[in-house]
Amino acid sequence: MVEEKSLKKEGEDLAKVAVESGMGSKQLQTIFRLTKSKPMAFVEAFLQRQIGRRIRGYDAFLMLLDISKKYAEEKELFEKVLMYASMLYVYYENEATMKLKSSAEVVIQKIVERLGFRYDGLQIEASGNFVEFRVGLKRFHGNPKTLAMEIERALKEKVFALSGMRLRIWIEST
Amino acid sequence: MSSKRKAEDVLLKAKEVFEETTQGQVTITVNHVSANGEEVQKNFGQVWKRAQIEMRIKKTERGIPFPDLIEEGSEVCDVCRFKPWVHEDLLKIMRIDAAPRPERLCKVCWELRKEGKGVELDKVRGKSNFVALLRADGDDVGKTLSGGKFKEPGKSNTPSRLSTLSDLIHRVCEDKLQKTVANYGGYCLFAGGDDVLAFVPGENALEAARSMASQFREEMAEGCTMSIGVAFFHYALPVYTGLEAANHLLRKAKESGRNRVAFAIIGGTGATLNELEKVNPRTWEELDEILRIVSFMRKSGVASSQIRRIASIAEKEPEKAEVFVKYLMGRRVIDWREGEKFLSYLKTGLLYDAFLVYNAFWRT
Repeated sequence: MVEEKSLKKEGEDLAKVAVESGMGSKQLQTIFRLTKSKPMAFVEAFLQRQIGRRIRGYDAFLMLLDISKKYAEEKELFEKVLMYASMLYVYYENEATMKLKSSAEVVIQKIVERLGFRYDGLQIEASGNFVEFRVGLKRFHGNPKTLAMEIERALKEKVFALSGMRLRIWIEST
Repeated sequence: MSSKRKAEDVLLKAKEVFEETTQGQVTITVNHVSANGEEVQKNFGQVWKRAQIEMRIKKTERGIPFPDLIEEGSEVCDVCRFKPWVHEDLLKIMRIDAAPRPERLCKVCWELRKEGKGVELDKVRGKSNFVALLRADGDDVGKTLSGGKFKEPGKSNTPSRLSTLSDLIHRVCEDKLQKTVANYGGYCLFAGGDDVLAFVPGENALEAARSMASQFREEMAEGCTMSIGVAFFHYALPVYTGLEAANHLLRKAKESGRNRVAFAIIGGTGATLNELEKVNPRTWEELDEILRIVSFMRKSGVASSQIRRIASIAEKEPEKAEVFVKYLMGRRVIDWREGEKFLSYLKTGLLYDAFLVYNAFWRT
């Protein structure tokens, strides 16, 4: 009897590999849907077909093939692993950005409140070595460039993960 | 303590005064043991122990009181529902069916009302219409009084030590804990010995319980702890529902290792013993954590429907609950920081208990 905890762990690992290898969340959901309605042999063939077609997420497909062989006789367990993986995919996809956002938000909020503006949210987009911040402010007046430069300096100084990255800060008055 | 010659007279007089004061509603068992001066001086602990054993034997000897019979067809008191009514309280109108009428009281209930005793639950209930009945009891007080605690610092049990300790326990319960209950908007029904029975507005009950327990422990110089059973019930439910539940919960708290609180929220249909049996008594530290989670739930921007979903999954499948919270975080249904807090609270295993409290009192 496989414990729920270990199934969750497998799903978690699969989700992480899927995110890292660039597999789309839709791809994972499609495989999950197929598992529910088709026999295991069909699912395995589908995975091999996607590998052959060079669809993004090679490592994740390989891992899926391994798991499908492990649970060849227990399809419902394979289904569970996939369920956990597709539920956790978005979490791991956003985790790095959101953690960055949480730590950056504290720094930005401190600066804008010290200057007498009202903080009104932060949007963040990261790709590779580049991060773009959109800082929403109420009651903003003055030169946005000066403020953006001050925020950039503070972020590079205080948030370790941002120290070696290229940043672009937009000040948006709302 | 009295001289051997006067012992019987003193006890009979005490019994007479007690039963007269309670108008025969509560009886008292009295007993005494004899010991010579030397025994009292050198071995008071043993004398005290003997007195306790004999009192227990005497209590088992009394017969089961047979209730007074009432005539067929006669109507009973609206309060105790036990004796025929003799007075009508014109100041309190009962809405019964389509014909409102004054409340009808038996002689005892009428006397009590005249003296202004009793608590009206309408006045205690909070915004949620829930009241809580708190039944608190000191832990191991019997052992303490029989001298067990004096042995630890190498002292013997003497009448003066026993009297001082007994006075202290009584003073803490009757004076300090009663004030604590009042501070939380509650009323003490009984506070004496090491027992407290109180009504508190539902919203404040757990804080009141926590405060009572810590105050008791402090006043007793960390030498004694307190266990409390808290039964939350709708103010319109019969009081005995809450009383029975509170007694049962207190017993559960004691059986699970003492120095704990057991609480249950009783719905409109009451609670069965089986349901109360499933209650998991919590330590005071766990209660602190539960109250922290409730406060977080109140302040967070997470919709109460989402909190309900998370809590109900957490009750049955904690693994799934964690995945579900992460799913909501990933989909940005709940804020990332709040999600992280949910994840840390899930690990404590107290999220469902906290949700029950939040759902009963603070859900908007």
